Amino acid sequence: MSSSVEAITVLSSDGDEFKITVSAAKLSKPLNWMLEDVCFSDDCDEVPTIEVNSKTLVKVIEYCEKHAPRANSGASDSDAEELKKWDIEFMKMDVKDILFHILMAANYLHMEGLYDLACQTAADLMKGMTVSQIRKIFHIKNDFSSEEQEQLRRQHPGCSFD
Amino acid sequence: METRSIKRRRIAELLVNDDVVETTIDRLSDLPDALLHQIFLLLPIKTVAQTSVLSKRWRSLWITYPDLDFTTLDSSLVSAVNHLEPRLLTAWQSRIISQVLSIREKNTYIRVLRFRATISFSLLNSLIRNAIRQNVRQLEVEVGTKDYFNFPRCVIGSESLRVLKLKSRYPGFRLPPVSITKDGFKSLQTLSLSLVILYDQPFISDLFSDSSFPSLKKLCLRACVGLKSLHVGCLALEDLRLKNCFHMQSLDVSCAKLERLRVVDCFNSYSEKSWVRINAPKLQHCIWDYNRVTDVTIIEHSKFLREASIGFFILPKEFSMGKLLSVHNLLSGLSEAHSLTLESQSVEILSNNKFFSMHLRPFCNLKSLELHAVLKKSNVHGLACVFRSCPTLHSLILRIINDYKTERKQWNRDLWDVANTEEEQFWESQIQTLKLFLQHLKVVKIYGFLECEDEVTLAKFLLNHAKALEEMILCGGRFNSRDYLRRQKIRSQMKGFSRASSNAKLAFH
Repeated sequence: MSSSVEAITVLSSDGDEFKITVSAAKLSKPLNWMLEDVCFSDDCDEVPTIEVNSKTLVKVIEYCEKHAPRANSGASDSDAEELKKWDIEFMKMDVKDILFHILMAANYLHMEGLYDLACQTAADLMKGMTVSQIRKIFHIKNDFSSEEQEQLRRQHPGCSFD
Repeated sequence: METRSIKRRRIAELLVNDDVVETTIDRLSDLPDALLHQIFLLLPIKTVAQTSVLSKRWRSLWITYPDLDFTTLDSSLVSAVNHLEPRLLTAWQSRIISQVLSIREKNTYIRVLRFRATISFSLLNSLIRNAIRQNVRQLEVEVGTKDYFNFPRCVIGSESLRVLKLKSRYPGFRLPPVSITKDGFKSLQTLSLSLVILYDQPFISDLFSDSSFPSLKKLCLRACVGLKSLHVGCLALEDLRLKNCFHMQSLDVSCAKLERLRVVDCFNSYSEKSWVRINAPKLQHCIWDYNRVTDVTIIEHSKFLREASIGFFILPKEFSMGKLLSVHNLLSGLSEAHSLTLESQSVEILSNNKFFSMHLRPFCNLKSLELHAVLKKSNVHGLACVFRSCPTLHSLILRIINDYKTERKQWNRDLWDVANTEEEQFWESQIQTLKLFLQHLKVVKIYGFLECEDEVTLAKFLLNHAKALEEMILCGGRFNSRDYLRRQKIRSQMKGFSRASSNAKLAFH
């Protein structure tokens, strides 16, 4: 790869093309390996595919571009503070629909920061919620039979922690 | 083929519009176990347990969840009063732990089991036995019991256990005899014991040796009551911490791989023949603090030593020649350090005994020195003695202890006053012997700087003579309004002191 290349093009699993700057791509180990292995110069036909759908990949790239300057150079405390606020805003989007995809993508792309952020977001959505609220938020279907449910209620310590 | 701008617009629309199909599908449950367990780690165990009634999938996640941290049950109380020791679970609450352990999926392992509880010894034993049966790797237990408390022997034979932290709130526990521990603890890497009652077995000579604890890397013993003599010789040990072992009279450490040693608040008994022998050729960090000076100290050099901190707990007038030699040996043994902290009692010892002005071994690698000292006349000699022994020092941090007992004389002189005080004369007389020190010193930070005579004199001396000085920072804390004008005046006067280094910056904080 020539050092003059500043951005690379990748395909999402839906077949859409995306541009991502080299410094942002470095946040992900697999992408970094790709940078080293695959030819990314302009005359190269091959565009690598990333097994992440377009909707998610937009978010992932947005995250990478925001975090890349800090990851590459190190930053002051005020920057870190600002970035933390940005992270919170970033995760405020219609997160419940896309959170699953972001978790999977961060896991697949080995992006520790995004992975931790997504896990924390999921945990925060569960914290302090009742069982029925959690079911509603994440659309979890109760598949216990009524006998099983009765049995759980009787023996399960989870509900008697107080 | 779509143009790029169209594509961009389409992607933007994707983000705005809710995907209707997507929203009604439960995607979270499809995530792999490990990933969901990762999310569980961020939740208090009560919430995790509650998720077990969501669906069959979540129930199976719960009964295979490997990180059982029951200390999160009382976290709300801890944060409210965090200066207190965390609350123990009551006996009633502790029954939850055994219930949780009993419903777990067969053939799963426990990565962590952590709890703080007031329980009977028999319940404790059965909990631990159950956890061991489920191949627990990390066991952290803090217990108060109303009956007796022995070391739970079932852990000895465990081949899965990597970390064992056992803390007794009351009444303390005893250790099993060596005949039983021998060939045990095959995989144990970290052992931390707190409040161990050893009146019956005050001499531990072959417990922490090659044959027991073959994999032990980290050993932490706190409040070993009655322990008089300790020998540690584990082959793999890298980190050793001893704290509050008041009755200790002899300590013998011989570990080829030891990198960190921390001994705090030990040797407090009034025995006559206390001794320490440390043979740790790989030692990198050593903290020796608030211990009484032992009668004999033998410490082998470690050329890997980076950081050392030395402080003592001394009673007035207890110094014999033997004890002086003992302090001397300790300092010499640590003379390869790159960074050194001397607590106030160490500075006192160095100042009050002429012996050291002759015999203190130079710290040839020392780049960073931190001193905690009461600035009084006698200690100035101690400081000079230490400076002399630091020929290549870069950075000096001095924390002045301003206690009400020490009378501090204000700096009260005019800039054009040429007559030197006794103290100034003393420092000036040291220029020759401090030549190397003054050639290398780059950074000086003085905390507790109240513009009193001693510290202004010292700062002036360093400004006048330190040739490589780049920065002097004087931190004085808050002014009270009465002092404000006087201190401002002294500060502006100090800015006018001549400087041996043209690059030297002087700052007040």
